[in-house]
Amino acid sequence: MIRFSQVSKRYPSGHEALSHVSFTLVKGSFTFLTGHSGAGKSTLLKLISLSELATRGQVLVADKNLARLKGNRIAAYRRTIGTVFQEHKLLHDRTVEDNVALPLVVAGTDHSETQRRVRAALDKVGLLNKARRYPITLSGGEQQRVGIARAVVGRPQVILADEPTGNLDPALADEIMQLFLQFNQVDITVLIATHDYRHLERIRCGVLALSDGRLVSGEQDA
Amino acid sequence: MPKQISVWLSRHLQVLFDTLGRLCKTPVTSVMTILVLAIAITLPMILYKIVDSLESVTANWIDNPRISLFLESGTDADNPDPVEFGQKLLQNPKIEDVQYISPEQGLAEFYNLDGFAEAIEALPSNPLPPLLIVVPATGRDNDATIILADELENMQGVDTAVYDQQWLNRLAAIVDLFQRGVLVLACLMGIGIVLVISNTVRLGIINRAAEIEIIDQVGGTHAFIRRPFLYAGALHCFFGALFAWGMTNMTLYLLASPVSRLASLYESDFMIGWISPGIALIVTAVAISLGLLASRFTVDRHLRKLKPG
Repeated sequence: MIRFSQVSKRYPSGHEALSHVSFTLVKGSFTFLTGHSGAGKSTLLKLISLSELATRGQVLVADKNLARLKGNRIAAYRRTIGTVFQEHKLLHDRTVEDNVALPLVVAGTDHSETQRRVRAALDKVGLLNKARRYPITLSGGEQQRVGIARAVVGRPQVILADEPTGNLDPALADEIMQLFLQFNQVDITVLIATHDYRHLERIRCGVLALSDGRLVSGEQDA
Repeated sequence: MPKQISVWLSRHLQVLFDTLGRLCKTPVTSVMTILVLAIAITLPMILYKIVDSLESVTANWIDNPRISLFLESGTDADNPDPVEFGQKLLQNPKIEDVQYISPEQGLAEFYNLDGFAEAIEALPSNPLPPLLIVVPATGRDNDATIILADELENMQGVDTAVYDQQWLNRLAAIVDLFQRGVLVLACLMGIGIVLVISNTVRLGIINRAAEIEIIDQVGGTHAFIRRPFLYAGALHCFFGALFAWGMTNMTLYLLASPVSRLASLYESDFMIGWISPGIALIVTAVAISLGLLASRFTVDRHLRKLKPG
């Protein structure tokens, strides 16, 4: 599903965030991406969500070479990826349901279908009763669940999460991880960046470990 | 209605109403911006209308020049009968029409003018010579008309031939000058609209930077991101043009009565008139196009930053 071959990323400042990273994630896999802060976790996720382009090497997602995508095909590609951010990135002037509906609205999904899928996504994360509330009135854990509902509402093939439990207490963090595991069960490829090693011990899954932009453990086969 | 069209339509209507809602949420800012645009559009519109009205009057004068032929007065046997003389002139191919104004008619006209009645009554006899108004067939050919006037003046029985082209030429030059002025003002108006809209849209982008980033992340196309800003630019200009139409007609209304009084002093029924809906429509269309262009340019400059690098 996701294949990196000899991928390097050097920022215009000269900082090399990733160097010669190669790995393959098969469809339906559940993988943790670990490493100290500044190890390149966020950069790796940004390469998959096409917020950044690799300086060298190839990033293939669902057999598409991301470097070749231009214009509206970038937007279309991003709709197949659900991204969860550590800082939630919700729109505070819109209700919870409007936030969750955003990926469907930009995709031009018709109104009744949008309503149906938004309710399903909110139900999944247990926030159906708070659909009309504004994000600011919700707790941190609830806001993160809104972000997750928004990431899955478009039925993506891949879910990326950057430190989704970074600001949450352990009990809430476990709940969030359970949600990701549930999505993984319906064959969605999940890649979660975290430095919370507790999860690694509990959940049986693949691990990609980065250190100073190099892959120190994980699949190196590509 | 096919589904795609209805989806497209409902999307655009949604953005339209959303943008209108945003304009209403900040009424003071919106009205100020719209008024700035309206004033920028009003100035050239007023000048245009004045020049347009002037031109329609002067074009008539310039295209149809007249030579005033004052005949020798008195009943000298050498002097021809004015009516017969006029008939003779009509045989000249360079003359299109001749109109005779007898001294009595001339006096009657003066008599009706303000302040002349008493002066005329004080005169012992009618001092006015017979007058032939000659309409030359030379049209706008000024030199030919001057030659014709010289010819006529040298004829037996003619005192003077007055071809008063000088002031018409000056008037035409003034009208030309004002026309150029309208053009320059209209260009400045266009630049003003572009700058005002660019700045308004730029501020809108800053206010909605987070939203734009998120929409970009979840797969919104650039067209989708651009749309509300294009609507904002177009709506500002639409309302600006609408206000400008009202403000222009109000100004013209305020000018109407002094202008007609001035015109009556020049024995003219000159009137400025109103901005026609046709012109208003053209101005609105131009303003909206400029608004769209400016917002498109401004948003695209921002969108370039969103490209993966």
